[in-house]
Amino acid sequence: MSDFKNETINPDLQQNIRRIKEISDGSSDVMINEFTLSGIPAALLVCEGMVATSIITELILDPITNIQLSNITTPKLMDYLNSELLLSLDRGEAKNYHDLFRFLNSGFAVLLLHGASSALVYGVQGYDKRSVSEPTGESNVMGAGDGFAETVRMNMSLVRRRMKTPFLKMELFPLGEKSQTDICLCYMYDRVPKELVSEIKNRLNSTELESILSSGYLQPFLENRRGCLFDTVSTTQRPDVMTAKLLEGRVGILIDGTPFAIVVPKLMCESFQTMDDYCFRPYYTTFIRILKYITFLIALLLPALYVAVSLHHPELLNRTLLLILAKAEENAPLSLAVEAIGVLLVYEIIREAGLRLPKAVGGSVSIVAGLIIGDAAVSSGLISTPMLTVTAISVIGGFVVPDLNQPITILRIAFIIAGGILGLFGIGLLGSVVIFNACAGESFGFPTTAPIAPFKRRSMRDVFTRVSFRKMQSGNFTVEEYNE
Amino acid sequence: MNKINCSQLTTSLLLSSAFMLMCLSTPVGIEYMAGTAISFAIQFLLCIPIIILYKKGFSLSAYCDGGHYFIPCLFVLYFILRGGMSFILVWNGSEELSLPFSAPLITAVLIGVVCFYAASLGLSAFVRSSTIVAGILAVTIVVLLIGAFQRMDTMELSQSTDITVAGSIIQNLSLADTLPVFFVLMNFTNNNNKKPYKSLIFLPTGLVLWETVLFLCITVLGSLLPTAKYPFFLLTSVSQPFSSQRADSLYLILFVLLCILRITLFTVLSAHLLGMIFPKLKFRSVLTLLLMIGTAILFGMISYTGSIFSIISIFILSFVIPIIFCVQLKKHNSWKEKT
Repeated sequence: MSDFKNETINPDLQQNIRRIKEISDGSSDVMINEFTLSGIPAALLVCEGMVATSIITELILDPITNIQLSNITTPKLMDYLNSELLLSLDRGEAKNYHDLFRFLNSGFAVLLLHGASSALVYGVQGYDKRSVSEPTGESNVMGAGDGFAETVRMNMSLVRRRMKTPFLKMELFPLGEKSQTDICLCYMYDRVPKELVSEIKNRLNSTELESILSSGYLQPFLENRRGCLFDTVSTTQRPDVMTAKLLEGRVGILIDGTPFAIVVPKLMCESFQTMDDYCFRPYYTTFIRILKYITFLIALLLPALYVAVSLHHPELLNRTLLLILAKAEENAPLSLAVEAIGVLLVYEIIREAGLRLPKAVGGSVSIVAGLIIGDAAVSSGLISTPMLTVTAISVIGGFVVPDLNQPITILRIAFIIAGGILGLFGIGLLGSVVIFNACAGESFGFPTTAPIAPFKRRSMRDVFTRVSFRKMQSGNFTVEEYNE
Repeated sequence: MNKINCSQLTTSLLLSSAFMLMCLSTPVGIEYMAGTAISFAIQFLLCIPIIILYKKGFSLSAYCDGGHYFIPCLFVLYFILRGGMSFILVWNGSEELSLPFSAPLITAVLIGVVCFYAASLGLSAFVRSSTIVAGILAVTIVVLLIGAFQRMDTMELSQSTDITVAGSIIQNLSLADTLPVFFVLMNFTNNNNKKPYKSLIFLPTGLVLWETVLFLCITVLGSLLPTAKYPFFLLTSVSQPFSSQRADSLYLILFVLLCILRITLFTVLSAHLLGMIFPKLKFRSVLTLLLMIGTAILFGMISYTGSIFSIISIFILSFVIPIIFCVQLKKHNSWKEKT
């Protein structure tokens, strides 16, 4: 049945209906209502559950059943329906079965007339959808409370409400051979680099995906280099964040069916920024930003430094600390590196278990993990208290920059192995690899480590610090400044 | 290969120079400080032909495209030798670093693997990484200054050492391997770099760095200085910012970072020049690194230091050759960058 893609609509209504039933294989949700319109046989097709009954009755059924025209032909009726009646705000025409089914399965009512080689379509969507609610992954204290939902058109409206300028352009198109998912490309056409938009379009058009069920399906096609440890494409659940990024000349991609929007290009420093930063006082934001960078290093390196120094460079510890560590590790049966990796793996298992389980059971997991495993492991001497403290600080530190949680989790273990085998020399070696890897990351020609490397002094006002809006309001910054 | 800007060029050369400073293994005194200042002034003069050459629009790539391979070969050879010397410096320095293993070959192989990875990412990734490492270097210097401040004694400046001003000039010039690197790196600076002399900022910056560290070494280490094999490492051990906790790990990690950056720089440039000479040659970075390690083993076996050879080669590569190019550039328009 895949050969219907370019098959044009048959003017014969009965043949048409037969073909539609054939293509859909008599699917139960395709409803075909045949009737006569001013003497011309017609059929109204809808997909059950995708349309709002009240809207279709009020906007389509009532007006067209009342049409009484004499001596009418199909072309004249089509013309009348198109030009005299405004049955729906979202109107269109399907010339082939591919388009017809795309409209039908998107919640449009499809009107077929005998003798017409195209179908009229009317947007009467009314499917159940989740209402706008607070984003779960990007909580803020003073930021807006609305987050993206699963419906692309609703998400488009959330962005549009914040950006009323006509320079904000939204391009809606289907993607995915089978799913025909609605994708919306959003950008400020007066600010975005033209090459960026065309390159993104080329990349999206070159995908051969059958379906797009989440933002993760498209991300790999928007990344430039394999083997990059850090994301070069960012996602957000917040319309205010996306609007701010669009203003900086970036491109946003909304995907129907997912509450996460993709934004390109991504800069690594954005992982340390939140919407709250722009609500709090600049001096406090600066303090929090610096704290986040330090915490990132702690999350990444603290267990590895602890293992490396304790195993290979004990001379670097002061006497008191050395004695405490020696006493704590006296009865531990495992080596420090194994102990550290073990604690981190147990934590990851508990986290994964808590994440997937129902909320009611998730609480029990916390109790089992915190009280039984943690307390019992320490009191039995399997794990030393300093090690547990160090890994706990590191893990909590990782939560401060949730955007970088994935690379932190993997690199933390890699650093422990390097530190355990080669000491600080190993940490230095792996640190070099990470720095080089991060610096090689590019998103459509924009280095992800910008504006730190390459260094842009002007942009530093919103990286480690955050200057007042009195200073930031002038400048018209766009991300194009970072293009290399 | 992507273009780099003036500040990226400066940080790359500065970090290469900073590694040499860390590995400095001579007794330093006020004479050495004076010799260092004079040697930087000489380096500045040596750079003038390079600046004039690039100001006139010279392009090393265009020169190679014309089928001239002898001079690029000389540079490749020089970079491989200096890369090999860097490995020796790491081996010697690693005695101070208390590595968990003693085999120098393992150190070389591990560093070689990381450098290969770094070189495979290209010059852009290298120069961006330089910026981050320059930040780490700046933090380290601040920590060093804080620690050294309490132990500083300016009276120590009056103590003289065996080394003379002339001797220190010669020694410093033998370490000035950033000049040939500068000559080749200038080829990759932005087309719109209308003021190539701005790139010379790496020399005054380097001078400030060297003089600051030397000053700290003399004033903090004092009587310990004559016994110090590596003044910088001894300085980091003595000048700790916290009375109860040592911060040596910071310097150790910095040492590894600088070493990798320096060897990667030589590898990237050698591999790129080899690509110009032998376009079909594959695995150029691996080949270059293997040659560097081989050179290091050879030099290590014969205990070669090569100060005089180093000065002569620096003089030829960064002064004589640019002058020859300057003179011949009028006749050879094809050596100029195509706009």
